[in-house]
Amino acid sequence: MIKGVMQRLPVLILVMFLSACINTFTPVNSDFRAKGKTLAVIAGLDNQANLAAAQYMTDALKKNSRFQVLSQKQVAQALSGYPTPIQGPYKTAYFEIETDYTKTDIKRIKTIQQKLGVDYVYVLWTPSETVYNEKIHQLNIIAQMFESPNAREVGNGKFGATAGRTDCCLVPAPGDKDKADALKDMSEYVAKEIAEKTGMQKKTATSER
Amino acid sequence: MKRAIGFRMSSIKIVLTAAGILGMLSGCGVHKPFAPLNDNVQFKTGSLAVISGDSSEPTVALAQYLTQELKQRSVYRVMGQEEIARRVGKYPVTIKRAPPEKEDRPVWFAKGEKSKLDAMQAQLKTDYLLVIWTLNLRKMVVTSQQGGSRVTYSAWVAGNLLEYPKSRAVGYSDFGNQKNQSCCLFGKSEGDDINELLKYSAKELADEFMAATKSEKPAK
Repeated sequence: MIKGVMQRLPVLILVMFLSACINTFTPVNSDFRAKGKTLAVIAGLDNQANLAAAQYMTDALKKNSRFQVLSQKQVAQALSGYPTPIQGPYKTAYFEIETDYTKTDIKRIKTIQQKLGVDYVYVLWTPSETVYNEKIHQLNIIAQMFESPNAREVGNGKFGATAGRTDCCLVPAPGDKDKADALKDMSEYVAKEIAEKTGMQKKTATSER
Repeated sequence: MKRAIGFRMSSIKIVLTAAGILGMLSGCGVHKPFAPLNDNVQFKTGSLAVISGDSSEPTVALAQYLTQELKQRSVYRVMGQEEIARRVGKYPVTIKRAPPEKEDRPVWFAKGEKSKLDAMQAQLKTDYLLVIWTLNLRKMVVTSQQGGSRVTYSAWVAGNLLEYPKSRAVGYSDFGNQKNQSCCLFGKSEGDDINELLKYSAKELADEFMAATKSEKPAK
């Protein structure tokens, strides 16, 4: 029993460490309030996971905020060749994302913002996935929100979508559905945080009275 | 959607005894940084573009390092990665791989994917395309029974050299390397260590490529 716990200790420590590092959305200025209403979610990379993340975040922001969110279809129609990789805010991201906010290709984001004609673009990058003992899969995500017209950064976040909670040999490795569910859940959570921290949360019937 | 989250760029293996890692590494017998696909291939000098076979960070970095190596050390006129992106428009794009028909002389790209490479070459107009992929970038943490742990990074490289205007594969790469994590006293990050691993793989591929094509710049 003790041996089993000791064997799993490194994984437990890693998972606890990763959970502690979540930054869902931090406004650059703490008193930030969204001035505009229109928003587009952009996949910063062209891998399948990034496209899925952009889709789920689009759905989650539509559901949980007062932003008028462009659909991914509308984004693709407006930006030829979408998605194309955009240099993100990191130095390297082979496993952990080594953040460097000076690296983001602001020029590209400004162009995207102008083409879409939205007040805000929220760009998501999923440069890497980390797998622990084949049983715990974490998609590493970094995001930035920019305000038009000059693509000024108004907020950012760094978080992960984790599928699988234990590396116990009796528990099967998470499948594609588990990973999709983890990404969906995380998108819901982050979207609520974004809505709250930008003053764009949906008003409930009680609060409207 | 099923495949949407199914990609796998990297993984961490936590192994509790050294036996596990030794067993894994000893299973990897092939180490061909570059070799001709058949013995009768005649290489010519001319122009060459290193093509990143997907948009993952390690493959893009490897393409950049390999371009630098070949530019500096070979007689080929090697096109820069920025110039490739400028000419092709959407670059890098994924060139899908498939299990090769001949494992000892692999052609990695899937059927139907060669048209993507041909279309790129039509824009680049180089004599050769050297398309590369990185596979299975891994971080292995080996924890000993006595406490303490050791971290090793490893990555596999696959590649094919295509000759134009014949539009045929004439060479391949199929090899892996590993690197131990630097001592924390050196102040290197994980990214720095993996960059070094990829640089080493690029150098090794360039060495073998220049040997096979007899294209090393003469020493001054």
